[in-house]
Amino acid sequence: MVVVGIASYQDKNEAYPLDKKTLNQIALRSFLVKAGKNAETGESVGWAWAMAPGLKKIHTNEDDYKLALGHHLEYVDSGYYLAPFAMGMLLAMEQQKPDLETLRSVRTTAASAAKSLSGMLMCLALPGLLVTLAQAMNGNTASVIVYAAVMVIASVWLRFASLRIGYSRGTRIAEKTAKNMTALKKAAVAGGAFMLGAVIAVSTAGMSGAALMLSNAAAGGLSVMIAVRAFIALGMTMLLLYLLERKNWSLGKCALLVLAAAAVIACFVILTGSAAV
Amino acid sequence: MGILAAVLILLAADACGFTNVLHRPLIACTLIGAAVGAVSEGITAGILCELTLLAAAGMTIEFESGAVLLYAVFVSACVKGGMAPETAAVTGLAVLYLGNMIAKAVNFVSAALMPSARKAASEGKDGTLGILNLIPLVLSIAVYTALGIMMMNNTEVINGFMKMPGSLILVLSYAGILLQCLGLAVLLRNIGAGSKTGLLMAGFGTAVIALASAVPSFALTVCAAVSLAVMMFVYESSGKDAVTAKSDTKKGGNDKWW
Repeated sequence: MVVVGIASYQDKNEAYPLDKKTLNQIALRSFLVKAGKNAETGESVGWAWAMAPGLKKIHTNEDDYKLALGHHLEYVDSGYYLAPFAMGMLLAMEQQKPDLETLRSVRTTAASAAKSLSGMLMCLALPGLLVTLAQAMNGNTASVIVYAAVMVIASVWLRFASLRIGYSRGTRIAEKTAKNMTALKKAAVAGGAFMLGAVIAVSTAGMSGAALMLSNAAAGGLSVMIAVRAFIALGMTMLLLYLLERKNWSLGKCALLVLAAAAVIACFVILTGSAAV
Repeated sequence: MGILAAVLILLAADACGFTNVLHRPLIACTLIGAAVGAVSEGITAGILCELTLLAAAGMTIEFESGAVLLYAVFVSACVKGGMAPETAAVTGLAVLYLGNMIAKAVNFVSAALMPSARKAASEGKDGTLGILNLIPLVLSIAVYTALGIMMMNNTEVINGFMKMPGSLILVLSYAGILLQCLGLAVLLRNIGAGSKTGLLMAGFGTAVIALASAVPSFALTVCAAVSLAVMMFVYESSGKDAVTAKSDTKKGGNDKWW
């Protein structure tokens, strides 16, 4: 199986800035970023498809365009509302045509930051929800309609606004940092490695919470469960990295190993009735 | 039935893409209540679901959008069937767990499309990528709508599903979680972060500690902030070396040392 994206751009000249129409097209496509979510690479299919109009404008060389689409198909999880912010940052970086390692690292950090900020935004919306709940308890149906309308409008506005902000800020940062590409690459890879470690730990957290809630375990059980799952994920990632790098395993073979490991864990859970994994 | 199906399709589609707002229990339960002619029961169910999820958030727990939608449908169905709303909200917790597992299982099945996506990318066909992006959406909509309709007709159906995870769904959901490790391993290899094991472990450790005391979103925010700080520090220190050499040459006349 071929893994596209391990190369560098042929045309290293800085690209022209993207026009408003292209940015709007990307913002519209970003509504479907989460649609194609899969277990292996997260939202990468929707992410690459949404970025495609911008990438086409930036990479006039066809091989570079294919390469760009390919490396954006790698793991990415950018959450719901602020994915366009990360996209804007990435498009600004793409314009400078840096090394792919830099782009991958910046993408990991920007997408994770966008995901986390999306979650935090929901916390900011909490007072609105509480007011609506209070109104609804008093039988005010209209408050639910107003709440839904406000949230939908805010969600749509956020997509367009965050793409613009991400792109303009990203352009400023990219223009400044691109003067020293070696330092940029070094910094991006360092930040990317840190963030990837965090993403490995967080990727299994959702299931732990649900299992804990069902098992009515004590609050202390959550930490144990999260740690157990996170270490399983870390061990699996490092094993797969070893097999890919050193043993030259194909992705298909690795996927079969993952399936076998999942079956073993499932058997363990069924036999012991343990919720810890 | 037709209106209910249309509402469930709309809610499932919005939970898996688009605005990702309508699946919130307060809105979803109200819409379902309106579809079956029981708006006030729908709102009551929605309020209790929201309060339960707020309590879960306080326990640092987050759920998949699809799971939240199924929970909202289940509680609406129970309340419509005459169950006390408080009892329905607690009984429905199992549906949240099941919903999370179903979401992971659907993600695992969707991963089968990746070879086709890679081929499309290597040929520069973004239109094909668009179609491949829609297939999991259609699959998710079909699964959530079908489960929603089944639950609205008979809430007992969920018991059958809860007994079933003993085998296939459990394996698929764990495979769905672990398969992310493959995507992350590929990214690690391609970034060349394998040589930065210390930073990788530091990120992992920070996230685990943050997760123990906060929701995943907050843990990620902390890590993203630290990651940006690491980036800035490394960039500045790399840049500083070069600048220092230059200014030394200018200021101290070190250019004449040879």
